[in-house]
Amino acid sequence: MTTIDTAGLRAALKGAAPSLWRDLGVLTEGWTTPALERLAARRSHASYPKTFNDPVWGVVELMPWETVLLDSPLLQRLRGVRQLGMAHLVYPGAGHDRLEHIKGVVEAAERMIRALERNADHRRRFGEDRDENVPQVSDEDRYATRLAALLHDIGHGPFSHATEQLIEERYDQEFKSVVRVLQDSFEGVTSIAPGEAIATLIVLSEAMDKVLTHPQMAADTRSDRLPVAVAARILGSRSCLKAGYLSGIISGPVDADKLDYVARDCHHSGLPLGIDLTRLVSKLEVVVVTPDNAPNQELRERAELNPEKRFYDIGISQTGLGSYEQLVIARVLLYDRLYYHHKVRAAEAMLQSLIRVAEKERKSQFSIRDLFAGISDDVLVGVIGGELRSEALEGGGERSRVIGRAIQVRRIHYRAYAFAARFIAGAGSLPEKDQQDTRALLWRGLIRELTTGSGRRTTARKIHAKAVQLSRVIPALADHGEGLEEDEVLVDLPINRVVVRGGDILTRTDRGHIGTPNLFFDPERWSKAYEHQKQCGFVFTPRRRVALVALASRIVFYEDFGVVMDEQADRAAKVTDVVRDEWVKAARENHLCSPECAEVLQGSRPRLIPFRGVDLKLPDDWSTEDPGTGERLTGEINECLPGGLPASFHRAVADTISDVAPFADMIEKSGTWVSVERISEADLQSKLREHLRSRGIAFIEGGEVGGGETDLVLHDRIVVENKVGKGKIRNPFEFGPHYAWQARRYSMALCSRVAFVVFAYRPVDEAARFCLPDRIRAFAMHAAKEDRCQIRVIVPLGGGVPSSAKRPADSQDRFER
Amino acid sequence: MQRHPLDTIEVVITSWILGGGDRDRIPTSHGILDRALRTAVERGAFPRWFHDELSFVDSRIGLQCVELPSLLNWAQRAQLTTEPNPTYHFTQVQISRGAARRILLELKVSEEEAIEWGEILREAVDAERESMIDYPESAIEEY
Repeated sequence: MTTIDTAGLRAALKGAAPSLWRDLGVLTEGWTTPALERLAARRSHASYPKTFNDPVWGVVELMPWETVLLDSPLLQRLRGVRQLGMAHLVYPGAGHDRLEHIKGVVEAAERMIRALERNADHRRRFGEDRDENVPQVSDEDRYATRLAALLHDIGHGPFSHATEQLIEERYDQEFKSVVRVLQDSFEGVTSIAPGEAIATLIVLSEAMDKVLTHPQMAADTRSDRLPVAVAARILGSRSCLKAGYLSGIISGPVDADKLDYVARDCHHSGLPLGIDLTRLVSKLEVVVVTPDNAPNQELRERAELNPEKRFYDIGISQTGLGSYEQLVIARVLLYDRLYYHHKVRAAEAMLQSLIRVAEKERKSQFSIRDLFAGISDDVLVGVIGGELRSEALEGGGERSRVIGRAIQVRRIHYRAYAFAARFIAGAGSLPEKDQQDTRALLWRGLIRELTTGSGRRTTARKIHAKAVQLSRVIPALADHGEGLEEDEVLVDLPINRVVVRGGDILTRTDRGHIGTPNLFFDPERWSKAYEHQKQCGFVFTPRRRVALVALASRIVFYEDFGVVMDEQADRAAKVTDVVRDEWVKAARENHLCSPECAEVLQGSRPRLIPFRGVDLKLPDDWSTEDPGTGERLTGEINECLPGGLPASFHRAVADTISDVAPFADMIEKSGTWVSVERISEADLQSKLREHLRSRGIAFIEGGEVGGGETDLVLHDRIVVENKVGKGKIRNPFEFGPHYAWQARRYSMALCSRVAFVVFAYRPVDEAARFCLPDRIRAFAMHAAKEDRCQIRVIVPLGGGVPSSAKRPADSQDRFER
Repeated sequence: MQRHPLDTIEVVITSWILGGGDRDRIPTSHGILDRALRTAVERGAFPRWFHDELSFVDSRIGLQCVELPSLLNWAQRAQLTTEPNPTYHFTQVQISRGAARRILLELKVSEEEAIEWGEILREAVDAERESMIDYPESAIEEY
């Protein structure tokens, strides 16, 4: 059994997270004082265990020292902390609190221990591979596991997960440091949620040490080892454990926490999801891992290191896998139907907004000591809202009161806008190979921004500002925008807090092999349902403002992220036909959205992927000379193609720019045609061909397209026409308008809306010899009815060596006085 | 510099597409990818910052990359992959090589580097998969 130096660990944690350690230490001191007084007044074994009725497990039994902790503020604080945050606003029965849950977890843990004890006994007595050395569960193991069950949720703040993100943001660096220390100190610990990290810090605090190492605590055990043993169980570590098969009982793939909360949440919410707890628990078994049956190197080495050449872990019988699948499915469905219900999310978003508004009004952030002050959730809404007064913490002002009141009377915001990758308009009409790329490329920019708290708040502020402007110029929306406050627009995109990863448990076959289980159920439907709920974001607002915020959201999402959601999104948010075309028109006329945006929102133009500077790979020197070259060029292309391009075309155009621009660069730098006054189109084509070949770029030359022969076709669809101007030319970008029309004819046959023209010319003077970054430009073909773009790359001829350059006749050089 | 989790998984997915040898399924079960990532990192694949984003633990079922479940979830959320089965035997890459190249531009990673990293990762995955042949009960379907 590996042990841990408690003092050293405390010092490391204190160093890693000084603020958290200090604040939690002070809180724990206060919470545990009554428990210490009770322990001091007791005699060992003086009282019996206590029993409680429980809706899930029937009867729960707690040890005397456990009831001492249960009766202390340390755990009583959890009495009013609702297990499901604001879910009771949708599922009236789902108002159960964490105190009820932790008692259930103790019972679930006890049943798991007993099932494993029984299985260990069978392993010692029966079977050809019986093993008399399977360890017994010691009192120390049992008590530490039960105490961990009782204490595993003490790291939760009010409203459960609704405030977890807030706390995580505030102590971000300290959490990361704590996680590193804990992973280094405890064996086998994988991910650690902020709530688990806080619970571990509390368990390992000096104040808690006095309680857990008290002689009356966990009778008959070496209580000095209890704090680290309890912490190890909370983290799911295999450290500090004699019976190694108990390691995952509190935190593991099948753990007491999950068994209880899935069953309890189903029970209280009235969702009959059918979990076979009894069978699942009874099918847990002790897995004996030896160098011969270990499925991988790490387990083999761990078995080798043990003097008995084996170790024992928790596993599940193959006949229990069906029950395990039921648990996994039930958990996923709970996310879909309960935890991520849109009304629950709206209420939780309002709650987070309430906290931020109150902090602004009281001019200071709530600390962890404020949030863990032991005030129940319902009362806390009143206190933070400023409607109730508390000595423990100061609430907000007038605006907080409005939000707090709205939450209390369930005046929850409505959906004004829904966004998801699958809702992106236009993508569905593309060829299949383009659909995924287009969705992925458009969606990634959006989720990068909106999966951070600050990103969501920034977008919400923009929507609010746009809504205010719209309400001033559109009479029909004036009422909607009257007195619209910033906190009335909330952007929400749920991040999956728990990643369901099936198969992280060992199983044993009848031939004695050990491995991770293969699970079977309808994967397609399961994953679709999973994705559908998880990937949908909403903009929430009060009911009377829905139409206004719906319009503002559409404009902001288009202008900021280049995306428009389709009618499925409207259905998901229940805002079908809420936004009228005349409002969009009015927004355009009042310059509150671009003409392109208006056309896209009115459905007269598809919206795909716009170009950005970062998409183009121009010669490095060009960017050095003019860092804005990429942005300028992409701006020109976007103007020509306001609907954007599907992913594959977008890519082909970007790649062709990256292929052809260096040609102009090379010709200038090498001075290839500096002394040549005239070349043929064949010369130009030959040089360009040579350039492309030297870069390993594939192309088709002289291909028959649309009944004619193209010069070059790159990336299967981009036509490159090579032209040479006659005579001396002042503006090579305006010369030969018919070139673009010729290119258009070829491009039409290739269903391409972009064509390239490489144009060699003799500049009329030095001024007509453009700087390198200016030798590529994009033009719209305005006479064409459709959006079409010509990208022209110019190559000046002649002019002699640089020393022969002459001042242009009409030059007004400023350095010449 | 604070990295978005998408950066990390985008490097993995784009490298796999470009250097993974025309395979669009990445095996993700039985710790294969966890081990392969560690091997690839040890062989110097992926950018320096990437190495700091991953941690590896000798867990209950063997070596695990702590961040991998979350990163795979990000890949799904970002439409880079689908996971058509909950056993996580494999994740299906659903973007093209062209889209991968475009993502690399934003990540400021060259295509040549990504190809090299993809090759290293593919070799590591193949080696891990090979090592599982002795354990028929853990056999996974072809990817």
